Amino acid sequence: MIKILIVEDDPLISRMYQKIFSFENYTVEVAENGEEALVKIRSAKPTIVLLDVMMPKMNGLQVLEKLKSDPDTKAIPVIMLTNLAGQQDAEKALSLGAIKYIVKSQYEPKQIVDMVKEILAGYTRDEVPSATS
Amino acid sequence: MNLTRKVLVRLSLTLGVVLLVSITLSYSLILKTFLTIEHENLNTNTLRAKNALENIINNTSIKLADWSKWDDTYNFVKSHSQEYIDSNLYPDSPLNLKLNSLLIFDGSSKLISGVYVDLKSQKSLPIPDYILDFFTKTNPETIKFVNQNDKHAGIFLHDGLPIIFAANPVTDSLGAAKPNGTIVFTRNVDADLIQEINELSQNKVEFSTDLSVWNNTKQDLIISTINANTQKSFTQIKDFNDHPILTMTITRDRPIYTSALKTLSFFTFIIALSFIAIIIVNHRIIKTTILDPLATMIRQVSQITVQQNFTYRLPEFSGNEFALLSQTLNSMFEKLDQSKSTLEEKISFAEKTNRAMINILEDERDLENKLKTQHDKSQILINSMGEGLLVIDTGYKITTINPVAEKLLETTAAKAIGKNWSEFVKTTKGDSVTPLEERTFAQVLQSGSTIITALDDDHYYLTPSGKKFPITSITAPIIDNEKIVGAIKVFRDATPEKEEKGIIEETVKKRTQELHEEKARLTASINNLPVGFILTDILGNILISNPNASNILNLSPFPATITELQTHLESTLQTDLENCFQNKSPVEVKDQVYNTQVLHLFISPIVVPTDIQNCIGAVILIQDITEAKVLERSREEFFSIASHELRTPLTAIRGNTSMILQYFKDRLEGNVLDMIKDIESASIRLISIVNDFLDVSRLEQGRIEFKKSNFDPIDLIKHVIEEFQASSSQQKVLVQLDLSTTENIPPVFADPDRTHQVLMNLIGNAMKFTENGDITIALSKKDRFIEITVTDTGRGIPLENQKLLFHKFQQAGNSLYTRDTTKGTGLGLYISKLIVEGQGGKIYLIKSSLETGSTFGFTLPIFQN
Repeated sequence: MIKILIVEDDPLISRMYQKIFSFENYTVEVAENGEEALVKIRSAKPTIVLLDVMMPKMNGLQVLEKLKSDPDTKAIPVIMLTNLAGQQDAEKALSLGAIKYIVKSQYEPKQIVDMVKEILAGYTRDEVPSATS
Repeated sequence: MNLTRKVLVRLSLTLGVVLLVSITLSYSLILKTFLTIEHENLNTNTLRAKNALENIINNTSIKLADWSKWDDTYNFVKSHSQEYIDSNLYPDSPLNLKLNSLLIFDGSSKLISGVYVDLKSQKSLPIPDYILDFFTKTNPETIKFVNQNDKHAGIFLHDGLPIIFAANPVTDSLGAAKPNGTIVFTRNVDADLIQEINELSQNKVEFSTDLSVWNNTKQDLIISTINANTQKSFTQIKDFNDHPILTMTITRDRPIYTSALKTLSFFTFIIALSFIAIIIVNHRIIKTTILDPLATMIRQVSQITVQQNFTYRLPEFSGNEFALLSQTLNSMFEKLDQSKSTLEEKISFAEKTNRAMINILEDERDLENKLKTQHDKSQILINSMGEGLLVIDTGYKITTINPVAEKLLETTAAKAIGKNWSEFVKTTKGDSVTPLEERTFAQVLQSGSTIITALDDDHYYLTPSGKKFPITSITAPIIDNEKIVGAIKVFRDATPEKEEKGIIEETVKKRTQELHEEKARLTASINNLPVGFILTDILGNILISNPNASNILNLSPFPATITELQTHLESTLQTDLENCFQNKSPVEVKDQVYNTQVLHLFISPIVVPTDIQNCIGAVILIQDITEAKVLERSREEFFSIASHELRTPLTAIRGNTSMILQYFKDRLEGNVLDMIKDIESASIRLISIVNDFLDVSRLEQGRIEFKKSNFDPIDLIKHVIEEFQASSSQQKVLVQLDLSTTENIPPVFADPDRTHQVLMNLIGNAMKFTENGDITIALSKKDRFIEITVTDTGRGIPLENQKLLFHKFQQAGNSLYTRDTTKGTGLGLYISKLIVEGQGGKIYLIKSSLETGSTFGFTLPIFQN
């Protein structure tokens, strides 16, 4: 069973992603802000993280930096979620070690699932996930 | 003219005429005879020269006869034997005969053999073509003979060179055989031959091909006199066909004429000399015997007449007619002398009396005239004056009145003179009657000084009939022997001036009022302008500024010069103003930041519209656009934020509906399924609208950074076409790339994603408006750009809507109420325009016609290394 952590402050989006990944038989964990996300990552050890950039308390980039600086968590692949206005931040995230960024409004939930699947398929082949972009 | 000179002139004239007649006669008769002799002499010489030339031609013919009637030649023509050639046809033969060529032709006019030499160098040369051509081609009849006794000889011209020829038939020595060929001699008329002719004829002969002297004459010999020493004669030389080809000129000296002339001159000189001698001798004789005594007597008599001295006597002349004459004259003078002295006494007395009388009369007349003139003058002056004139004595009685015064005061001189002035006219100042002692005449008589009343003094005359009129006047005392004897007054009716003055005052008042109003209006306008207003002169001094200017700039006191204002504004105002003056055109300064404000400055020159377009200053309008800027920014931000905020809920709607349709489709009944589907498509459309809005706002604000790279536009187009083919398979529209235009298209330098968006938009539009047909994409190179065109066969765009294309929210051809909202926001072309222009290209409609379709095009810069 693949465990996915969805870090998203907007409950509408968060619930939508929870549903689609449940439908696709993923174990879904949710965090509403950056701080909660760090706690959840350390406790739940997800296979992959969907991380929103703009969030209260601690933003996605700060979370990402912390993850990548912690040897326990730095191997977990992170996909950044963003809106159109945050594209530049998302590109910065790639240099910090995120695998990909997704502009939320441009894809349907099913397409996002497909992308996650594709990424994980690559990782299972290689066994050891790499955090370099 | 005196007698001496008369005699001399007549004598000279008579002898001069005789001399002239005799010279003329001798010249005309004698010289004519000599000229005839000279003429005949030249004629003879000319004929001699012509004969010499003819003799040479004949001699050539005669020499030829030896050769033509020679058996050897006859046989040679038959046999063509080399032996004959060797022994006869070598250069010495023509050289000895002084010929240039010797030619032998057979019966069919073909050259058998011949020889040609140059007489000067004595060398053999090839026979020139023009000689052969002459005999065989151009004039073959010259070597055709039937009878053995015939012969041809003459002269022809080739290229300015006259050539003598002779041709004889070849026959045997008996002259009995029938001619079997022709033998020809030629000789060029060269310098040697001309020398020969000169010697034969004792002349100086020249030949020339110039035939122009014969143009207007039928003579064949012309004589022309060049000067007193030289004469020339011209003769025609004709060729064998009797055509004139040459002019032969003979130049000769004129010894006969010159010696005749010398003789005649000498003869004339002798006659003239003897005539002069006759004149001198004759003159001397007449002078001594008659003229001199006569002159002496005339001198004496004239002296007596001039000096009126009848006591003088003439000298005695001895024993001739002059002595008698002088005695008679002397006795006459004596009588005259006696009567003269009596007469002189009488005349002297009469003259004295006469002179005295004349003097008296003249003095009297002068005096009278002077008086009369004086009187007339002053009368005329008075009568013709434009003003009224009055003179009174010390008793205020009128003594003089002129016609103008009569008319103005409604009286006549007869009535007025002798009357008291105050009874006659009343004076008022304004409306009040002036008392007698204050009237000007009274004052003048009392004070003895001149008084002038002007228009402003408001004096009026009131006549007995009640007529009242304003006057201006001068009143002066009349002083005789330091005593006032009266006064004179000159006055005029000042009604017109009074009226004029009134009108002028009224007008000035009105104009001043208008000016005040105008100024008030202008000041009010300037002061109430919603913008700051500053007026400067050409030197940058601030002349006027309105309250708004100080309010906006918050400066008190307001700066007096532009330099000062500039330091406050921290701007380039001075430079802007100078530019404005220099170019005589307005300068606009946008978004000038001043403390917390944003200002908009508009500097406009004040140009006097004369020929030189003089600039006298400038108007500076200052607008505080801080509010507007804030408003603009907040509107832009609202647009952007609203679009962003809309996207998240829309994404949720769209995502959830798509999930319902994906995972729970079979659980939904027909109507619910349809509604969910509608919700999905509504959310998709909303997202695309919001996307368009966002694109527009970001492009307008320049917040989109173009990620430019060099790429192949053909690849991009192919990719876009594939996308369309995948999504529009059900439509009957074919999207294709015109492959004939893809050659030699270099890579472009642009943002591929944005270019993709433009292409999608153009092709998408084309599809929307094309039910059936093709959409063709073509490329071409235009200068430093690649042009990409999209052509459809759709319904086309009406002309009136074409200009609305590329504008914000303009879906061509639709009003707000009738626009087809299913076909998008109408922002597509506007976005495409912003993208293309943002990349340095252009987008435009190339052509469009109803029912046949439209072509849109846009350009992208070519990648430059």
